[in-house]
Amino acid sequence: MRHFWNALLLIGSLALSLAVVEAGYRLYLKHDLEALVERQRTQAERGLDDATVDARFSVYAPPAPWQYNEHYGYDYQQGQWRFVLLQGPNALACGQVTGGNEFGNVGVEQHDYWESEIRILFFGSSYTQVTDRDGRTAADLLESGLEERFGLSFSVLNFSRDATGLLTSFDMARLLIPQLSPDLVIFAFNGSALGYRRHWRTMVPVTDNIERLVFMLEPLGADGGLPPPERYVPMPQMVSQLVTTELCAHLPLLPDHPTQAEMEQLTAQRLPPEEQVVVERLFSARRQILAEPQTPVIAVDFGRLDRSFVFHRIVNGDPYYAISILNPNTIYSSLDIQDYAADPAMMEAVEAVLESGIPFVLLHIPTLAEMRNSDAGEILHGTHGIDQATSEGLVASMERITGQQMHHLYQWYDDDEKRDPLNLVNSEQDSHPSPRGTLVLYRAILRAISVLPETQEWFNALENRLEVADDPEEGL
Amino acid sequence: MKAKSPRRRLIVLLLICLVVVVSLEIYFRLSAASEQRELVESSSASFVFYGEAPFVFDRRHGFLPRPDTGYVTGLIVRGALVNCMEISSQQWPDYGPDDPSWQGADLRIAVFGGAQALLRPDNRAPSWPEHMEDALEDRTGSRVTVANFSRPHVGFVQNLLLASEISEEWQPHVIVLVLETDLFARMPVWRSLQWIHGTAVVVEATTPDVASDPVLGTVAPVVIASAATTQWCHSQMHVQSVGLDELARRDGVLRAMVGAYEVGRLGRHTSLVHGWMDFDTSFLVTYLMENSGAQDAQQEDSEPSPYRPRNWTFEQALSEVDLYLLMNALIDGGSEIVVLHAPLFPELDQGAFLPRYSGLDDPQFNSWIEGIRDLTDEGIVHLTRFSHDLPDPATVVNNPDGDWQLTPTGARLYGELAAAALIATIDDEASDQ
Repeated sequence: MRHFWNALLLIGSLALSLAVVEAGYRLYLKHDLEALVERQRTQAERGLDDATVDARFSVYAPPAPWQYNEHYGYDYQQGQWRFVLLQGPNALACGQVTGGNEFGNVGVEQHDYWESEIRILFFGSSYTQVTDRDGRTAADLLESGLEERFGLSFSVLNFSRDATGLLTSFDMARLLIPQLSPDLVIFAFNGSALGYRRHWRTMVPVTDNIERLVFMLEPLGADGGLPPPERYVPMPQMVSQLVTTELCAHLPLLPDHPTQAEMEQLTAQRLPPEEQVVVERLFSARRQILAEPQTPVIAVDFGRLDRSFVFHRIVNGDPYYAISILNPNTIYSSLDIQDYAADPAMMEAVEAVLESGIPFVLLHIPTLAEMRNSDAGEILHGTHGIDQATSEGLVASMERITGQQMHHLYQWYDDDEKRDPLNLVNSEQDSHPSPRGTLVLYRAILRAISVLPETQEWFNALENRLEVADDPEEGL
Repeated sequence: MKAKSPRRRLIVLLLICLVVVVSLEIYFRLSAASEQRELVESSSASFVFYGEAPFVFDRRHGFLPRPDTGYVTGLIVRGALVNCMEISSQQWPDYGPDDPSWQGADLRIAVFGGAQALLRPDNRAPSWPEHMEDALEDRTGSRVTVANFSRPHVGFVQNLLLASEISEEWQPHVIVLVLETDLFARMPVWRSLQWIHGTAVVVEATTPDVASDPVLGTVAPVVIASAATTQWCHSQMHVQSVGLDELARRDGVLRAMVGAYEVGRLGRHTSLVHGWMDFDTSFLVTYLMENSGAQDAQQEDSEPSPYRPRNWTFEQALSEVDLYLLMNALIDGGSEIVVLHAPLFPELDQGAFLPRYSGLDDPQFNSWIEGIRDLTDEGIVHLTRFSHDLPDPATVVNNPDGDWQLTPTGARLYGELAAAALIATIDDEASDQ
């Protein structure tokens, strides 16, 4: 009996020892990975190449151009945005651009929304923030085009937000449709918008008088605090109280829309010592930010019970054998769901939009690859940074939950323009509409809403008003 | 009995812990896992990876693509991920011979080529056979359908074998056998997957027995790993972009792929660790041999596998395969046969079929050309004959100095040249109809 207990004790001790070894090894691995990241960060900071350090960058004066919105991420700050343009530890110029309007959108509203006869809400991303040669977005052009066609006053509010997708836009629509009572709602996005996560924007301090932008995957906490580190991504854009009228008094002022040549002619300015110190502090903060990884990079569950790190080290020579140690859940990664119905907030938003009874259309803006390869107007799944299955699943689920088709705008692009798709985008690598592309995009949107069944009734009503106006007797 | 003190028990436990740690470490040092780790960390290999196998082993035809498969693919160089891309579909027809799009065409063309005919520039732009289809429709006004049966790294004979079988069922009006200079003399190749702990290496040999006996073959620079997803690629590229290269290399998915490839290159085709409980002294012998350089000497002395994929001469091909029988069967089946030479970039540039890129000596090369001419009535149709107004060479291929994969412009050019080359054949076919 004694031998039995001794054997049992020995086996128990061995098992306990293995557990202790496994636990100790996990602690070591965790520390080892964190130390590796820290070591490489330091190396990255030292090794920042001259090109990066010498690149031009802007620092805004407060308030920041982005304003936190707990319901749908962020708005653009109303008013003028002042900034200083720097290159390395030198200041080049100061500038001022028209920032947000009263609705939190970029640009100036051409008409009083509430005074307009027909009101449209337009949701999009950076693809619908770009402008034609006269500084007009596709939404601005649509407003003018409809006015010209129908002789009525139109207001198209462009709620485009950069780096956002359908989730955010439906969050916005849910909130804004009851507030703004539009006659029509347009959703116009490129393929990557299908997979964008929701994100919120806020500013966090870098030093006493410098702040930087932060993207968060969830709203601020009830106490105003940031979410856990793996749920936010610090960005390089800075805002600083050091950007003052005194500093800008020593610098040339950039015109509203500087040309390439004007930008290239800018040179480093000699500043009084007290202002040069300010510029060097901004540059120093910039260096510090550039050297940081922009997102948490490690994602290993060291507490998991279904895997032994010791075992894999012994058997395969690698404790992390066949598992990824890198964080896949960044703000830049696409949604990990293939069905919007799996997102309760999205379902609530879609239901609210449907219940409003306001007609809406889902429009797909083509990328260069789609223009070249899909004349018939098919979404090229798997070409927008979202894997094919996810992209297909998201489009199918969007059409299912809204009961509407997602229409590829390319079918309404002018045939002549289709001959040179590259002319319609910024470059081979950047499919944002070029100034020409913005004009062609607007025409396609106008054609789409004039023929699609979702907007047919609304459009016919406008046509009828036009006929009545043309024939005063009928009006009587 | 006197009870042991807690302190003494703790010391015993710590001692057992120490013994366990030391034992495990000794086991590791003596086991092949240690060797595998060394291989991964010193890897200088370059290979392509796929998230899913884009082909299946086929005993008759070597291997066949899976047309319904989308997958992630990319390149790993010296143990680091270089690029990633997603392929949404392959060009191999995803329809059958009874499909209305095929049966309803005025002109049905089956193309049997290699990588150049298979690959879509930038993964998205049409391949040259797709451009050929459009150009033929424009020129003839007929409804043309091209079924692209091209496969990477297969030669003329292997394509002919596949064509002879497929044509019976598909009944194409025209069969295009594409000669790509660097591959046309290649022996038929079988490709099979050898799995090593959830990761597969591709083993190639000139015998179908490679599926059951992988030692017969050589490891192709291709690895399949289902954990290599789009998201994994994004996170890899992201950490590299912020300067954390070493962290990226530490990733378990990447290391599993590198390890599988390196182990495959050693010619073992299975994990170095053949059962983790089977500790025996052979590990020690292996360890000592490899650390003493004995294995290198052994590898240098060893004969290359007789089943290693390589070129053969026309006479060798003729002795193994009745090429005349195959070709006559195709012709008797009612199809027009066109053997089309699709030039490599320097050949396009110089307007000639250049033997030096074939891997054959001049007599062997000439024997192949004469042999193919003798097999067909038409002889070889050279695309270079139709290339009068060449665009800027720099726009035809990715890099004229080495990367001769066609650009979208190049694919369009080849498609138009191929259409021009086929027009005479099509006219004959139309007049027959």
